[in-house]
Amino acid sequence: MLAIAFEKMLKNKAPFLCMLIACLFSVSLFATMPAFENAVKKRMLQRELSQLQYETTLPPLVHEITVSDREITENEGGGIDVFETGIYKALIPRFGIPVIAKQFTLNHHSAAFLHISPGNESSIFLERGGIMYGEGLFDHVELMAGRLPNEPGADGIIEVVVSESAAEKMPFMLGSVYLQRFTPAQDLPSEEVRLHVVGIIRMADPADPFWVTPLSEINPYTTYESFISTFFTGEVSRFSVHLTTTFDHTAVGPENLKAILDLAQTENSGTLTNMEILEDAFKRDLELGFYLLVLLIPIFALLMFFIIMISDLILEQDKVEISLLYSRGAGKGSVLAIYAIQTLLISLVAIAAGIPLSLLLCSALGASSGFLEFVGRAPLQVTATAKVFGYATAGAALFSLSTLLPILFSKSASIVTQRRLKAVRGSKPFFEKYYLDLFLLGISIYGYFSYQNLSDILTVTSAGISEITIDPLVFLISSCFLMGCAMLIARCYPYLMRLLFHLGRSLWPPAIYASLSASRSRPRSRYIILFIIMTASISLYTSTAARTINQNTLDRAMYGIGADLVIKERWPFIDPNPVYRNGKYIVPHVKDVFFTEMPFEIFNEPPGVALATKVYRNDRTMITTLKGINARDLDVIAIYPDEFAQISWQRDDMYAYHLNHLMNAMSANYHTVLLTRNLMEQLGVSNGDEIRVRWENNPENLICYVYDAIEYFPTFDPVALDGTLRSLIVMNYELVESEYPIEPYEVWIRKEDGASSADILQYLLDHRESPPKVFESTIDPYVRGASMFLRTDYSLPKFAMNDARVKLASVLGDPLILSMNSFLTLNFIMILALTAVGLLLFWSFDLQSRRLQISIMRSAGMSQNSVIAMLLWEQALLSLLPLLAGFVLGRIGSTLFVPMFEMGGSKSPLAFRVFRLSADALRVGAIITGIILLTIAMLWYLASRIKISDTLKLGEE
Amino acid sequence: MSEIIRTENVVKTFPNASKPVRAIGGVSITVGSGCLTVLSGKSGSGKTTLINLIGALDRPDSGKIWVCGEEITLMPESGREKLRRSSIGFVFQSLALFGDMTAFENVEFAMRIAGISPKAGAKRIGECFEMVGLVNRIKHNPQELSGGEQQRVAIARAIAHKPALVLADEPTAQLDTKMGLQIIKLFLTLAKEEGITFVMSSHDPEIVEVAQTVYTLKDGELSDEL
Repeated sequence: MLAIAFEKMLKNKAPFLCMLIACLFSVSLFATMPAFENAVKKRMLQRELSQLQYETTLPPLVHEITVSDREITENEGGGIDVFETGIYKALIPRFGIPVIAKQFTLNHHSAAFLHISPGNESSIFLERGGIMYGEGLFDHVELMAGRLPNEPGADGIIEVVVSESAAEKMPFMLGSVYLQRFTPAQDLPSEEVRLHVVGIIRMADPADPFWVTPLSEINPYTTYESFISTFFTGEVSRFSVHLTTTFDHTAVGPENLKAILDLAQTENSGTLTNMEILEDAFKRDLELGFYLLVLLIPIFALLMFFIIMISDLILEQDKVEISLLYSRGAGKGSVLAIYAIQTLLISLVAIAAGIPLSLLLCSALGASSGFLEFVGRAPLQVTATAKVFGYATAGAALFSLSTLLPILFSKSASIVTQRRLKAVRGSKPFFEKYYLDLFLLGISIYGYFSYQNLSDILTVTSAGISEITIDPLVFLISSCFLMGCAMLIARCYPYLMRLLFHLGRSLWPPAIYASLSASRSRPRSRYIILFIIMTASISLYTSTAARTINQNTLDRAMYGIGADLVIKERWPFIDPNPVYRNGKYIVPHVKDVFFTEMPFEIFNEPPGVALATKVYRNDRTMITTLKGINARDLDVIAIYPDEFAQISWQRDDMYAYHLNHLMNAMSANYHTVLLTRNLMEQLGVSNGDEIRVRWENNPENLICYVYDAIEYFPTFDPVALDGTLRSLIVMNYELVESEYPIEPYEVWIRKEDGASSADILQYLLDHRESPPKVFESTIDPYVRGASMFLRTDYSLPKFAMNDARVKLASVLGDPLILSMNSFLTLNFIMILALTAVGLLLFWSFDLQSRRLQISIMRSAGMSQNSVIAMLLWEQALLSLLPLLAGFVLGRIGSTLFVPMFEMGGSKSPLAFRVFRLSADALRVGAIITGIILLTIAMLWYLASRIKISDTLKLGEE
Repeated sequence: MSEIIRTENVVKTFPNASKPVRAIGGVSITVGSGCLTVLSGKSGSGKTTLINLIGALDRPDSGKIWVCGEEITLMPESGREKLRRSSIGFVFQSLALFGDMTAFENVEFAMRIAGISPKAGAKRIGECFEMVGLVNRIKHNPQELSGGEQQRVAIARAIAHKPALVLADEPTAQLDTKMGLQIIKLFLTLAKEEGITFVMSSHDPEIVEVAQTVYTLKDGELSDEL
């Protein structure tokens, strides 16, 4: 059996190679999923932890365990090693994460320190504190004064060192002796310890991972021997043991996350910092897995068809050989065994080659910066985990099953029957036989209408401006729709060909006659039609979905920022009625203070600034109509219309009219205002009506005239966090500044192409004179959370800058968006690759199987050119027409389903718009056309090499 | 009876990896029009090769061949195609119908290749099917026909364009004896009624007996044995 299998493979290299390619595709695709998923999940988690580290400057993954008031025993070595043995050695390694640093401290419980003069027991009472020992601590400190402590002397006084802060705060004085009274253990009489401060220390390098817990600002430190000899009774001793372990967070990934969480959540296992991030990551991992799986459904479907098609082609070729075996008495089991050996060998080779290929593919995909973009990102770190091997094996198994099942279910036809059935056209494709097209269409139609109903019922609220992404369910429904329609078109295709055949029957020359006959009859050709329709439609749909998501994400981000740069500057102010509470200055409201405007001209000076403008905003505006209807707590944006139109980010579907039309109206009369539609309805006003506008703290009304209603305006989110509708007035800043006291405004800037935001900021910092220090506070000038305009801490930066480029990079760099883009790119590339290989293989096999047929045509006098023309017409009917049908289907699919992605995420403040890039359709068309041309060239070559006499002879074999 | 085929010292050798094979070695035959001529001989004697040479499907290495009064040995490919289109019909051992077409369409397609207009062709197709006795089966696909029926469709296709010559390579090899003889009977009838010359290869002695002329080939050369 083995010999027959090997002989077969050596004899038929081409089919063997085709099967290997098919299996390689299957293995690579299957293996890509877990490899990529793993790498992305790890990247997402690392990004969050690293971001946390950046923001807090603390290591993100720190384990702490404290043992206190428990039985502490001495080990054989005489030290408190039981804790390292019992806790550190047992528990910490079980996390399986490399340790960067550890801090092991013993801390005697706090008691009051008494400063005693030599020979004088009267004392100066200090703050409470506890004496500490830290393992290896003295290797990480810098001595400021004095020396490090030695072992206790005969007088029993222990030597200690203190931190600079402790020396200042307690205060501990160098050279002084302090007394502390303590109870060593329960039921024991109190004792006292004298400590001699011999040195002042500080952290040698505060950035050292060792200092995850910095030096105590209160407690003195001593040696191990001093600590143990003083505080350890050999029974229950009243000090605590504290172990802090800093883990290398870059080693945490999906492969070990669950184990870490399980361990961290067990009793008496200490605490691990940022558990919520790890738990969220774990929860998200499950969601992400499903999400990525759904994105790959179309390519899996296409892969299935590819494998079935290739297997079918090869089996068709082998039918005579198989029937010969049956005729010689071989049973189905023997035949199956021969093919099983073949597929096993192919599978092993495919797994060996496919896994590295999939890792390479994942790594490259991870470097993509967007859909079909491969610029400037570090490749993903991918590893071949057990899951990758498992999936790769599954891919090989799927291939093997697809190849062996048809043999299993085939009839054991003898050679005689086989020869008789040589003209057999073949049975229906399985998707026609089992009505898979109708089934998938049914699912998609049901899903489409159910989803629409669901969106009507859902209360759509805005959580602010946030990212959107592909809803897996929508993608699933749309994939079902595209596949179902493609199958339905493939089912109907023969009827169309039949119609064409009959319509022009009396006209068709031999080439078209033969092409149409072939196109309408051969069941096998329906696979290639299906392939091409699915390729074109799914590629187009995928690209539209990706472009739409990406562009809407970018638009939302830009809408939220408003311009290239938005700068807020700290303004000096006078608070006429400062309020203090518990000695702390309470930051006033903007309306309660008097500001000094910082000169604006500087914002137009930096190289790289094209134009700068003022944009004033508040949320305490009131409107009164002539009919006496009021509205309060409204948002206002006041602008210079001309400049604003040139600087702000706009999209052409934001207004009923062109923006310039509205800005021109506002410029012509600076009393002109724009109101949101809901506000106009609330006030009962129409275009042209007069209204009175004022800020809450200003009695003076500004007379304004309503020009038009708007739905959107840069940075305005029409839905509040609680789901209520917000209102906006857009005013001319000239009116505001002429009538009202100055208040801080934002500066919006349009940059020149290629200008650097950092350079602009640096220019401002270098050239802006320091404002007069109008406000002074002796208590605590820094107030957390104060708005930029009201910061009173002059050590803080003068400017706060919102850079659109940074925001956009962050938004598009979101791992979920990146994953989506990468997987859709994978879809796109793999679909086209499968189609390329599938087309070439199909047509070369097809031509080989039709050599006899072509020779007979030639023998009947059909010229070589006519034969080529016949093949060209077949390409036109079976490849180009389906390509067009695929484009139409893709267009329909994206029109129906892409808008539904909006419902998956939180409501966008900006209207969701479907974006198409014609370059994508051109790209798909060009690639498939290129493949078709290549196929034609190959067929031309093969057809021209057919020797009629040889083929006719072979036909009689 | 005029001469429709003449060969003079035709030689054909096929290159082989180990040693070239001389399929035809200096064969000279003539075939008169309107009769049934059989090329007999064992398998590998060169029958099929000779038929391919006569049918302008291959070229001899040396010697000359005339078909329908034209020397075809050095004729360009376009001329040979034209000759096959207009004057020659083929019937093959392997049935060789186009599975994508019905019986009617198989014949119609051959007429289309021959350049016969659909109007003229429609009548002729009907006649052909009548001649081969398959009027009730014209709308069937090949896999719905028996072996004999398929061969008869192949014959209808071969004669549809009224060729002067029909070359049949082992046309009865895949049929039982009774069916085979029916086919031969059909050839004889067509030869008589349509004036078509039939040249066929066979090693069946019963068929050889009914032929008007028999050439026996042995190892690529003419032999006197039957």
